[in-house]
Amino acid sequence: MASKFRNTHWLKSNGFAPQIFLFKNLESGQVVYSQTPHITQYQIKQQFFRPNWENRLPSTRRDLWRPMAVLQLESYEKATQAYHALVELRYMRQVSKRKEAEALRKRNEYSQIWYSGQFRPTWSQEATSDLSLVLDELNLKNVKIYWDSLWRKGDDKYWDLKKVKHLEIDNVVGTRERFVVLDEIRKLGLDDFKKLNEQKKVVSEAAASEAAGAQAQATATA
Amino acid sequence: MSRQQLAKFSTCASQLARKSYRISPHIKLRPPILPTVNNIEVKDDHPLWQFFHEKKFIRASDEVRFTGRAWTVPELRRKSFDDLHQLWYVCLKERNKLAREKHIYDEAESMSVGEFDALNEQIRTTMWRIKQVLTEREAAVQNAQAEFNVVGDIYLEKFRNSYLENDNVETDEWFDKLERLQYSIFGIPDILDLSTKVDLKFLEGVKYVGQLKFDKFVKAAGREDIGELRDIAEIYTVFEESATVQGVKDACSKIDEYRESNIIIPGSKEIQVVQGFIDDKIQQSQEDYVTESQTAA
Repeated sequence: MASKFRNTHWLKSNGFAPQIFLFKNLESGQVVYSQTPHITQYQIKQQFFRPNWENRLPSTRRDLWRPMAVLQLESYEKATQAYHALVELRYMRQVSKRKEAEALRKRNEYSQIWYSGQFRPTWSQEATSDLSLVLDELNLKNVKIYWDSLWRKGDDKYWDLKKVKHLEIDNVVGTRERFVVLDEIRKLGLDDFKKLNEQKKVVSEAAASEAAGAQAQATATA
Repeated sequence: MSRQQLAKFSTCASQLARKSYRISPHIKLRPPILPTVNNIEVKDDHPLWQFFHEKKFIRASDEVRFTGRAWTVPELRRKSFDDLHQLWYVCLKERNKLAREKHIYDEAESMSVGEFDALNEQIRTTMWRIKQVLTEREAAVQNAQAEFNVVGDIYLEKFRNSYLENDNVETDEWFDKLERLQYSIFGIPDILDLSTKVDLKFLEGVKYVGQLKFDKFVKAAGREDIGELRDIAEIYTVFEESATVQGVKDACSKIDEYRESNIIIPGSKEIQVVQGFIDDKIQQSQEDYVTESQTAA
């Protein structure tokens, strides 16, 4: 399911909500974006452009990946657009604007990216920063972000709280049940999408009838 | 299939070249967003606060400087088990707090660790002295039990004689003595509960105490017509009642009713029967409690 790029039609017809999943590697702290709640070699090859000793190509071992956040948008088009944007920002940080990105990273005493074992906190912090940047750049509204822990979201000043709602993924259950939790989030996403569509429909019908009324009035006056 | 439905992800696909779709290539990257604890709400009664002194991150070494001393063994000997138990856990929690704070100072390679170590040692001394007192008590109980196995009968005989010879045993002092005797020697608690299990010792105690009360008060109650107590049911009836003349009188009237049935319980069924009596009594008191609480409501 996650082994190739999925367009809006595919996502809609296969019961997915307009969501993007962020997964974090437990070992290295690296983050991968996915349109479905799965990680495959496709995402890893797509999002790691210049692997090196500090940013190694991670494995697809399922036990090492945990959901970090689920980004829910108001439509499938916006979701695919945001997904493209996140991957593109990843490309910028690793290739085209590498120096700019490296200047922003925390360094240790040897000017290496700060690490403890294989873990580098900068990857998840950059992913959070890219999320915030994408929402602002694409001017996305009615956004919900389900975080694994609200601690990860950072200060409120990085987010436009009128457009984004921050929620926490249910962590009462164990990690073995995380796919069940993600599935519940998917269902909530579908419900929200449906409600939003109905609201838009009502608003557009009201607008259409108003316009028709105004036109009729103008014709009568003429 | 329309253009949008092509399963392609390509940054140079024509439909994605629209300016409004992609992010600007001149975008300024943002610095990484650091997580913050301000987003986390911790409830005031979270159990991990027990590792913090008054919810402070760390205490200065001045606050930890201890001018007192550890508890001595003679002082601890005067304390009850519950007090020692409480003191133990107070000491344990304080040592946990000190250990957490000391770890932070160690990480920072600070020289203020000495005060924490000193207080920790004082508390540890108190804790091993508590263990010392408990060990002494345990050894005393074991010695007493071992001695009782040898001279127990003599002790019980002496107690019985002093109880029978004393003019007034309907006092709190004698009630307490009887209660302590039946608990410490025979394991019969004052308050019965669901965990009370009848064994040979328990049975022996019921027989001893029941017979003692009967022998003491039967004459004063004017019920010498009862004669000898025939079986465990009669003995238990006397045992159950209070150690007073009225108590034995009430027991004797119950024995009269019981004797009308002409049942005599054999020795092999004694434990079973007494267990049954106790379970019935507990059930009855639970039902009474439920009825009372419903009436009160």
